[in-house]
This record gives sequence, structure tokens and C-alpha cells, in this order.
Amino acid sequence: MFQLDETDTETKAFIRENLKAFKSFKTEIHNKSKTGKSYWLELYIQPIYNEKGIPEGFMAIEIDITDRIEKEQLIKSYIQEIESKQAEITVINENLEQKVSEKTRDLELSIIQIQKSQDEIVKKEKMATLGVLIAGIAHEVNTPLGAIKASADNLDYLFSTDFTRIINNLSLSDLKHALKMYAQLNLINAPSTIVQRQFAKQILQEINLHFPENENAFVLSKELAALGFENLTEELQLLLQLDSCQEIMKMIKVLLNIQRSLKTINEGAIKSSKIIKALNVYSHGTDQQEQAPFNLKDSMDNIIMLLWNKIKYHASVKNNIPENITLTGYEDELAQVWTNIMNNALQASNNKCAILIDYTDTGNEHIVSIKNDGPKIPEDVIPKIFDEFFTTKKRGEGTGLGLNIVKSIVEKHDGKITCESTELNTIFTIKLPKKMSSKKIAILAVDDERIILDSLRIQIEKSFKQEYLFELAESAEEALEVIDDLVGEGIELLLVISDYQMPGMKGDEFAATVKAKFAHLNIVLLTGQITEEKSVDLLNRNIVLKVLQKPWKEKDLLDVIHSLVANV
Amino acid sequence: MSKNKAILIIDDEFIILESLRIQISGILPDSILLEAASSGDESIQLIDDFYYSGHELALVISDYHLDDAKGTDILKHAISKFPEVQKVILTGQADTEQINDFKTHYGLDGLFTKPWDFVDIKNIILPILN
Repeated sequence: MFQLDETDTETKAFIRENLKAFKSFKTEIHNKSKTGKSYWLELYIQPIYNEKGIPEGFMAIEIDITDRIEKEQLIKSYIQEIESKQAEITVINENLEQKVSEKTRDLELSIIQIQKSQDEIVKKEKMATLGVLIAGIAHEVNTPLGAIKASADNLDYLFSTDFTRIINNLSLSDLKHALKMYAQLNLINAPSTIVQRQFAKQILQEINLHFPENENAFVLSKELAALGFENLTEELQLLLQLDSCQEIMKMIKVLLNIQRSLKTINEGAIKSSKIIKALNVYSHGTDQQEQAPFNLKDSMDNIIMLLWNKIKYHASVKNNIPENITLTGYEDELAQVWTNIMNNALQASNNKCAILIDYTDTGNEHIVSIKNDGPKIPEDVIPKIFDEFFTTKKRGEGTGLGLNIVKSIVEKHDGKITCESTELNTIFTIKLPKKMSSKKIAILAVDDERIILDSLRIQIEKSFKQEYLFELAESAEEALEVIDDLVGEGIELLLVISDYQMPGMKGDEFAATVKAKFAHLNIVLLTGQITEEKSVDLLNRNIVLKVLQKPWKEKDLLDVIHSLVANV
Repeated sequence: MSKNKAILIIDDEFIILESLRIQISGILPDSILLEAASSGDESIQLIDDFYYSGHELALVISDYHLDDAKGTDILKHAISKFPEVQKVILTGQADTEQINDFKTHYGLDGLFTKPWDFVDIKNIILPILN
């Protein structure tokens, strides 16, 4: 029998079974030689039968397949190894993906962090600028507040003390006299101190002339001048002859002081609220997410008001920006640009410079120039002024970020800032590109045939560079509604292209209706049917801009559109 | 006969000057002259006028920041003519070393910040009335 030591049990059972049944079969067996060497055999077994057909033995053919099996096993082990490596790689890959996504998230966080800190730097600089301004602003607000408080105190005193004291000494007819005189006076505006003294001189002369025995002439003349009298009027002369002259005068004075105090309170309140409102140019930004239109002159005037305390004594500012210039941007950030440049000029000149603000419109750019006649910025300093942390100011006076942030704000608005400085003056020029006209343009096509509308759309789209709305209407009635809507939304309707022959209202009637309501609208009529006579009539009456015969030439239509676009 | 007393108030903001004038004139007897000025030049002129017309300048209340002068300079001029004058500075902000310097050298009877209190003005004026 066979050596089957190394063969697995399954194979052994298979061999035994087949031998028992005298079947022919093929299998592989694993044996060990006497030297212990392992070898593989391919085994073919065939039963041998005697002449009676009874099996009496077996024939076996053995082929040594050790080499093949060993190779197969080697390949198998390689495959296993590869599979296990692949599993490892999968794990590594998964880890890697996770790591990459973690890193990406970290990076994203860092970018947000950087943006945040940049915003914070801009905000901090804004606060620093405000800090510099705040002392001056406080001074400017305290002045009107001082006048308000004093006037309120004065009113209190006038009513509680003066009034009662005077009333007690006044007869009813005196009171009437005082009120009548007061009603006729128009002395609400107190004259300036110098003018008052001129009035007083004049009045003193006249009192001395008409009332030489009046001992009180000097004080009286001062009093009358302070009330606003220029000279000794007839009424005053009559008054001076009365015994109760002094009491009546006092009553008039009290009434006038009440009126003037109220006026001062009013003026003071207006003035302080103006200053507080000016601060708004700085506060818009806290929640201003998008660029918004604002009036440039007003914004600049507000900045000047905030800097007024530094300007008013020895400096001057002339704001030549025209009234109607609208800029689109972040008003609060641009406010920092203007403030910084003007404040630098004031600081450098010890608050003794003349600042001139000019504006030029180049068609596609706003140019704001801020010129001052302060000291020259040295040539070697000019290239560095917009650098981060560059400052010529004393420690604590400047952060060295001011002009750097100014530059970044201008660049955020896609603009440019430059500086030139000579012995005569220093000019900062800020160029800000105009935003693409925020006013939307629209073209309206009216035709009852969809195919015409589609071809119009394609033709116009092909050669139109600007952004525009293409509106369609399939009848004149619908078109009238569309026009009303567009005009209502403030969209500029560049052109109406209308068919002539339509069910319902025809093209000529439609054009006349539109023109009657919106005389400035341009209408082009597309038609196959209109008579020459009618078309000339429509053109002459300026109802349509052009009549195009169907089929129209694309170029003719686009020429009309382009000439209109050029005028927008 | 003692000299006629005078009081001088100075501010370049007219609403301040006018309200201060109404305030003081309300508590002042006719015997005391009240003058108001809105610049340094005007003030110096008035102080000189008081001097030559034989008035006694009893009190100066001056704003600190003026177009053409500092309030302390006006006070110095007042002291040079009227050594006994009472000196008050009225300012929008309690600032500046200069005011403190002046105070150390010449003394100051009042340093009022805007908005000021009527009571402070009364307390300065009333002793002058006696």
C-alpha cells in the first residue's frame, strides 16, 4: 500500500472508498521519503479484472508532482501575503484619508482665524482712530451741552426768581406796556459783543442828548445794546420818560432772555446731535455686511466735524466734493481712510495746515484727492508709508498700522492709493473704480409668435456684453403690464421691440400708448405689413425709433441696441 | 468812592457767551459792569479799557481754547493790570498741563468744565458783590 503519512484524512478516505469499490480514480498524495524529504505524487488507479470480470488487483501510475505543488504553494503564500498587505494598505489609506481631512479642517479653521484676526486688526485700528478723536469730540459736544445746561438753569432762575420779583413791582398797565413792546421787538438774535459795544456807544450818546439828567445812562446803554437795540428808538424815548421805566425794561429783558435761552437750547441740541450723528460714519460697519451706496460729501463732512476740534483754531479744510456723488462701498471703512489721512496731516503740522479735498470723475473711476500744505514727507519715507508697522510718530502716538490699513481698505474696494509730497504740499490720491452700474438694463420683446421672440433673444444675447434682462410678452396688453413692472422696480428699459400685426392691440397703437405714458422709451417696430406711409408717420411723430421690415437684418437691430447702450 | 467793579466773560462760542451773560446779568446789580468778549484781542482791549476808565476788573471767566489766544494768556494780562482779579477758566475738557502750570504759578479761583453748574458761577460771583 501507499505511504500516506502526509496526506490529509479526506484524501485518505477517498482512496479507501474507491479501492473498496474497485473504482478507477485520480488523486494527489503527499508522502515522505525515508530520508524525510517531502514529495507529492499524482496517482492514477485502475482496477485490474480477471477473465471472469472479477477484479483482482490494481494498476497504479505515479507521477512526481512535487515541483508543481511546491510552486503552487509558493504562489498561494505570495497571494496570501499580497492580500494581507492589501488589507494593511486599506487600513493605512483609511487612516490617511482621515488625517488629510483632519488637516484640511485644521487649515480651514486657521484661515477663518486669520480672516477673523485681520478683521479684528481693522476694527482695532478703527477703535484706535476713534480713541484719538474722542477727546476732541467730547470737547465739541460739551460746548453745546454747556450752553443747554446754562440756558436751562437760566430759565429756571428767570421764572422762579426774576419773574416773581418783577411782577410784584409791576402794575397791570406797566405789564401790558412791557408785553406790547416785547411783541413788537424782533431782537431774538443777540448781536455780537463788538456790535453790542458800538450800539451801546450810540445809545449812550442819544441818552445824554435827550435825557442829560439821567444818572443811569451808562448802564442803561449797555443793557439796551445787549437786548439788541441799535439806537434810542421813539418807543424807548417814550419809555424813558415813564416812572416805571426800569420795571418795564426789566420785564422786557426777562421775556427776551426766556426766548433767547429757549433758542440756545434748541441750537445746542441740534449742534450736539449733529456731532453724534457724524459718529455714525464709524458705526455703520459693525453690521454692514455688504457694500452700500452713500453720499461722499456728507460722509466727508461728518469726518470734518469729528476732527473739527483739531481744525478750528489754526487749520482749515475745504471740501470740494460735489453734492450728488454717490459711492458704493463700506462707508465706515472708507471713513477711516479719510480720517487717517486728514488726521496725519493735522498731526504732522501741529494742527496748522490747510487741507483741500477734491473730486474728479473719470467716467469709470472716482478720484478723491486730499491735499495739505503741511511738512514734506521725505523721499526715502514715501515708499514705506503704506508698510505694516512703519511709523514716524512717537511711541504711543501711532500704531504703524494706520496707512497700511488705509491701503488694505482701498484695495478691498478694488482701488488704489498713492502719495506725492513736495515742499509745497502732500497729496494723497485715492482712485476707486465705479461699480458696474447697479441700475439694471432690460430689453422687452413683444410678438405673438414664439419663434420670433426666441430668435430675437438669440441675436441680442450673442452680441450684448453688458448684463441685462430680456423680457418677453406675447401681446401688447401683456407688454404694457411688463413695462409698468420694470419701471416700478427702477429697472432701465433700454428698448422695446414690438411686432406690428398682433391679435388685440396692434404695434402702432401699442407704441403710441407706451410713448404717452413713458415718453423717453425707445421702440423698434418689426413688421411685414405696415405701409411706407404709416411707418414714415410713426417715425416723424417720434413714436418709434426705427421700423424694421421682417425678415430683418441682425446687424440693423444690433446697431440700434449698441447706439442706445453707448448712451446709458 | 471805590472804583466801579467790572466782570469780563470770554468764549468764542456765541451760545456759551450768551447763556453765560444771561446767567450772570441775572444775579448782578446794575452797579457792576458785565462785558463779554469772543476773542483774545477783544479781551485784551477790554481789560485795557477797564484800566484806563478807572474800573476795577473783579473777575475774568475765560474759555481756554480761543481762536487767537489761550484763556491763560488773557488771565495773565488781566493780572498784570489788576493783581487782585479773580480768575476762572471754563473749558470743554479738563485737559492740559498748561492750565495746571498756570494754576501753580498764578493761582486759579475756579476751573469749570462745560457743562458747568449755575451754583459754581453764583459761588464765584456772590463774594464780589459785597
